[in-house]
Amino acid sequence: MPSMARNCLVINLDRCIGCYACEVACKMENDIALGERWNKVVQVEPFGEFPDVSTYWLPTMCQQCEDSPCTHVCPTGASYRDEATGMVLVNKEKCIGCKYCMMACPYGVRSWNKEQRVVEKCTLCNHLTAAGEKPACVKNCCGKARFYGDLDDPNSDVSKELAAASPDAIHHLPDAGNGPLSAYILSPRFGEWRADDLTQTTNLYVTTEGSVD
Amino acid sequence: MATTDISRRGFVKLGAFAAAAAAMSGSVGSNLVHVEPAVAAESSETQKVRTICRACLNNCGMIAHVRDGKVVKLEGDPDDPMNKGAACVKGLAGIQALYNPNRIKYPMKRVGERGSNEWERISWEQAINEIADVMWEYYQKEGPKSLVCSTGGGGNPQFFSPARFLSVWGGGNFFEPGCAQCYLPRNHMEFCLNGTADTSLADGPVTEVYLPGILPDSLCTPTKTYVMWGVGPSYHGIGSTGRVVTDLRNNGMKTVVIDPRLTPDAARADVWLAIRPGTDVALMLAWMNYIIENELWDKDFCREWTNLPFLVNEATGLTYRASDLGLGADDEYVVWDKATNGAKAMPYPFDPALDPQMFGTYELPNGEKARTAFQIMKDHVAEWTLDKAADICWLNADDIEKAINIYVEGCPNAGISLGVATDQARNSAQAAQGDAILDILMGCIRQPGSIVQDRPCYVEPCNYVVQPFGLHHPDHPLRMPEEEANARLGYTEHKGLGHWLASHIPTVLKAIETGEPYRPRIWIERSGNKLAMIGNATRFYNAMMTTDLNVHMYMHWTTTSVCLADYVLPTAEWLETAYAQDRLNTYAIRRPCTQLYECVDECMHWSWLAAALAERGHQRAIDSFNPDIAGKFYGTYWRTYEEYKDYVGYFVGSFYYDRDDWNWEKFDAQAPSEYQTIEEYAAKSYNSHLFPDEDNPSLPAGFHTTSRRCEPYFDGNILLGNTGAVDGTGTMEPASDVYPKSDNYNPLPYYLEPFESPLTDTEYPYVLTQGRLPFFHHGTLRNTPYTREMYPYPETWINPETAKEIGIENGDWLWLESRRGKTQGRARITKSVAPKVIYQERYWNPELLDSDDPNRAWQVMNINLLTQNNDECPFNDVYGTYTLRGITIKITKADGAPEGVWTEPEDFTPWLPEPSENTGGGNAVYGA
Amino acid sequence: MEIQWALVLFTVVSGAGAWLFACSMLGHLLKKDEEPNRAETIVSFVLVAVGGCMSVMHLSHVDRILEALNHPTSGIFVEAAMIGVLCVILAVYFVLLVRGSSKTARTVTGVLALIVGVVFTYMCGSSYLMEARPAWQTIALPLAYFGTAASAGAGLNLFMKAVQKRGDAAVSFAGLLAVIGGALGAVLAAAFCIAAGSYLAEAQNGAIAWVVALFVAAAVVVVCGAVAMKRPGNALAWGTIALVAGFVAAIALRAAMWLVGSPFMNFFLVALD
Repeated sequence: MPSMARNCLVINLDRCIGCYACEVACKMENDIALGERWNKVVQVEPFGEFPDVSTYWLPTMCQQCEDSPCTHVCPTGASYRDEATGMVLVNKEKCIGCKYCMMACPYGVRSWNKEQRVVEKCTLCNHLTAAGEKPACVKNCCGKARFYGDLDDPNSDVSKELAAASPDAIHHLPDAGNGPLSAYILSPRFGEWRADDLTQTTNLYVTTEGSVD
Repeated sequence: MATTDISRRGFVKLGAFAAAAAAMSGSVGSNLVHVEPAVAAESSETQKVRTICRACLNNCGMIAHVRDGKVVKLEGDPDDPMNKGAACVKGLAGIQALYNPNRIKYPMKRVGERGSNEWERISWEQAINEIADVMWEYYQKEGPKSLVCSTGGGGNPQFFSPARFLSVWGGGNFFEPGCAQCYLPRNHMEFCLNGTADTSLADGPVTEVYLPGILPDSLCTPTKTYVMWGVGPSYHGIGSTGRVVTDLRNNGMKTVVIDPRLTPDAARADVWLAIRPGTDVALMLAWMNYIIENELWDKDFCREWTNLPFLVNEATGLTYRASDLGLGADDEYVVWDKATNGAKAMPYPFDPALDPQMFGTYELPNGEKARTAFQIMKDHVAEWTLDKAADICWLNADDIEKAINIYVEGCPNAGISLGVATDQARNSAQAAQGDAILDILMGCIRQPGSIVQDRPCYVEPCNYVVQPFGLHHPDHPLRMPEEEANARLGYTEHKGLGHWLASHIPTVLKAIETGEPYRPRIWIERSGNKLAMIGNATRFYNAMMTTDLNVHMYMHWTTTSVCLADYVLPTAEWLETAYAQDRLNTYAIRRPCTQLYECVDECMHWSWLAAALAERGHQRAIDSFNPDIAGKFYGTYWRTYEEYKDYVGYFVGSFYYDRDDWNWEKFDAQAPSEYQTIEEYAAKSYNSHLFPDEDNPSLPAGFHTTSRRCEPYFDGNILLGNTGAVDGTGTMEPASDVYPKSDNYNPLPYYLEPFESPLTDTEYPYVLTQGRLPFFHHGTLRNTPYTREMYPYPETWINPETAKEIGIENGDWLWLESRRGKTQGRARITKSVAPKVIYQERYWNPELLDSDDPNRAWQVMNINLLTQNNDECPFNDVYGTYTLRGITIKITKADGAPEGVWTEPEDFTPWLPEPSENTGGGNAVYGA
Repeated sequence: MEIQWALVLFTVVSGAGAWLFACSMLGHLLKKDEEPNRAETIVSFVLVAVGGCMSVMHLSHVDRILEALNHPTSGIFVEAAMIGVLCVILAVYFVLLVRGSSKTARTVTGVLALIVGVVFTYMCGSSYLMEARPAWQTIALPLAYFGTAASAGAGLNLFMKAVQKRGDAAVSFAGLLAVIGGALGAVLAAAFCIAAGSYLAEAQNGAIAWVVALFVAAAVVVVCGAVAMKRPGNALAWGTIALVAGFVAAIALRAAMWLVGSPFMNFFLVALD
């Protein structure tokens, strides 16, 4: 049996200019309510001795984990991995709202739809990608920092972007054993990847809280 | 004169706006190289309309998805040469702005006291006629000076509409809160010195950066070093400017960013200089000194193509003409020739037989001693060591040196862009001079990869399609009469304002307050929220409450409408309007996607007012509808929107495509399209001063200055001070009568410590700066739910050291207080600013408009309650700039957020879009 | 993280029910007492069932609960399945009891209920083992769920025996079970608290107070059990206190668990209110 595709976003932080366009592009495309989001840019709070400080902006969303805790804990299969595309998705029709997947997501990048009372998340705009378009956040990205595609396809945008990057510039979010697929590119020229320091909330500037119910 | 048949070349030579127009010389031909279908069907229901944004002045290409007459989706246009598919928060918010419940939907008339927020809906006919009645009454009683018109850069302006109207009206005053505080100083002064273009990336003339990736690699020299001086491309024209700088930087371009704030571009710079707000000119003088002392300047360029070797009359400050000393003609200058060790006439172009001394003091045949312009500059900046600048600017001298060297290494394929920051302090003109001088010294003018390029730039506000009558034609019968132009408030003192036909805001306020020299009675305003955007807003409010009639034209209710207006006129969002815009070598089109309620493009408001005045007998207004008088170039005023659109089509066709028969339909059928190839576009700038002059092909074209060289020693400043008023244009033609030098503007930049200085101010110890955010353009989008969700209140950035000193923590609500007022913000403790430097951006709170005290909407979190525009705080000499950045404040902890402001995401639910039918707008119910 | 009360009550109530039956069955197997009677079976059944229903209060779409059949390996499915199985076994046991069927059948069924019940209380905790909640990622967590469910069930068992005025030996044995249950709760909860120590220390949200309550309550169960063991004749008061203390201990553990359950990372800052 052929292995599934490994579709995900790759984000070149050398190119991310902290403009937040991906957030609003995502919300407009997917009609996401106020207080909810599938995609969010956080700033790594400037660190170092002033004025020799470093910072970068870190767009966050579902990391399309290879060993996805959300699908493991979901009692109904509402959170599932799509066999054709390999995407981790939510079938909202099956969601019973137990929120275990929200607890199990290591990054807190799942969203609670208050109106429908179900869990949602980044779908990689699969309604667009299925039609050959790019996800809204990728299309509109002002720094051209976001890439979508299959890591197993050497001709995909993500593979090409990663191939062009120096290996020491390729990073992943801290891994709690889930194997995040999304990669981040940050070259030493532009900043120092904070690695596990990212799990310390004081190292991040994160605005606008949301809540479930 | 016949204004209908003016050639482009004639156009170039005529205007004070040559900065924008000059490079248009030569045929642009009819290269309809790249023709895309105007409207591509996506499905039977949804149309994709190619249009251009106007959420900021970059006008990025957008695709609007329209279904059943409603705009349902926006995305960046991937075929646009500048934004290449990118779309920012502001642009994408267009739908929420269009269908916002806060739209001004119908003409409204105030029924209660001014500011009571009680209104009745009236018809367009009633509104136009009642306003025109008052205008006509004052016109007859007190003349044209009774009227003040204003606009602003935010919210889909036809920027020169007010000035166009005043040219018909026959006098009066026009202002906008940018102008002297945003772009005018750079737009005017840099062009005066380099005879080429200003360096504003946001406003459009920096075209070179867009060529890599479009121009074939073999023809392209990417910029090697880009100095962004108070420039934050990631946060202004994001889809175009942020994208393109990122492209270049990632491809190896080195960058220096000078900014008090750690912006995304500062964070990625090779050197970030976190300069103390308001001290930029001190740093520029040190850069100049370092470059001169270390002989880093471009020897050939400075000798042959600048006025630096020219000898200067020490008494007048003017460069000598050869005729002054009996050495030659009056269009020749004087140099000290090394070979003959004597003064010699320097003709145009450079005479290679001469070997001029660049520095030194020499005794002239008439016995006077004279220095070269370069020697004067050298002496002028000699005290500005790196250490001195470091001390004043709160920087490290080694970092400054490193920054200069990175810049110098890239020259001449390099350059400096100057952003808005320096336009917002009293040293505005001088900063623009300093910026221009540095690039001239380094020969970074019209070279491949350099920032200063000789290309047409129709992105900038001074070249809107809708223009004041006679702007480029001094003899046009509808041009504002000279005596009225010279009576514009503050123009005599600050003649640089003439470049934009503008008046000086504090002087306008003083006239309203005191009646001196005359009292404006009527204020017609087209922009979002003056009370949030104008410095020292309290003074502005108090003055405008005393006028006899205030009319506000805008798309959304703001504090200007609620607190100050007597009539409110519904105006069109960018998705409702028709317009044309240059995008690099492509001409793009803004197509109306829908028209809601009774909203109308502002150009029709002014047209309808002109028509109503014409009915009452106003002769100039009558003439403005006469094609024989108005001429085809400016077009008549328009009775319907179709007439206006056809004018736009005509203008684009005649000016860009050499077609005299275009209307909107013809423009629409092929737009957007290239009007020349990118190769032509690129090549027309490089070393264009060496191209044959069009009028006299035996001579090189030179630069657009008096001496046809770059004029880093800008003695034209002296002439500007004296002659700017002569014909109301601010032209640089030499004057016959030169007033004492002490009255003049300085040919060289000089440093002024901010009037309120943290070095000496113990009561208000911190220095406040402002700066762009990616969510808003000026006062706009504070009532669109997604933008407010992302940035619900203004952040007050404070360095941890300073926060500790004051005793505040992240998330604390604060009071910020200056000598003019106090307002609130919310603390973000961050190393993104230096100790003692505070950053907060302009803000206002539409959610308070319907409260018991609507004035709180512009007061509770508005940094402009603190800024300066009062006479005690000195203005810039040339432009009258008042100080918005670099004022001193103190900070205390507040009990909490201002009462009634919205901070939680769900709070903004009432502002979610309410999709509305395409009614055809006000054009469907009224016509002049 | 915020305390999810529906889930707290679910595991406490159903766990206590499971352990009530288990304790009764244990007394019977060790020949200290009669076999679990109708009242004890009914109380166990009701608690397990009511507890199960409480978990449903946590859900927003109970109507889709049958979708759970789609994913039989998830922790929640296992819990739900075990509740169902346990209820069925208890019902069968009850029927056998009422019908007076063979003793062997009853014992086999009872032992089955005992095993399923206590394993269920462990499984309830094991559902929370997830990398995203590092404080929970320890075997000590399901053990503490198991242990504190035992505290609550043993306290309830002592109370039931005392109410029914069983013989001294039976009540005394119930006292012993309470001592053991309380001790199990205390020891296994302590293991969890040690494992999650750094998170506990950092939590500024009252988790420590719940931990204190937890150990006091578990100690109370032990003391009550010990006293009842010594003086079985006067056990009702002690049984009542042990019952309350056992529930408090079980609730306190779970409350503390939620409060220390800070996420590995939380970019959206979503709070599960």
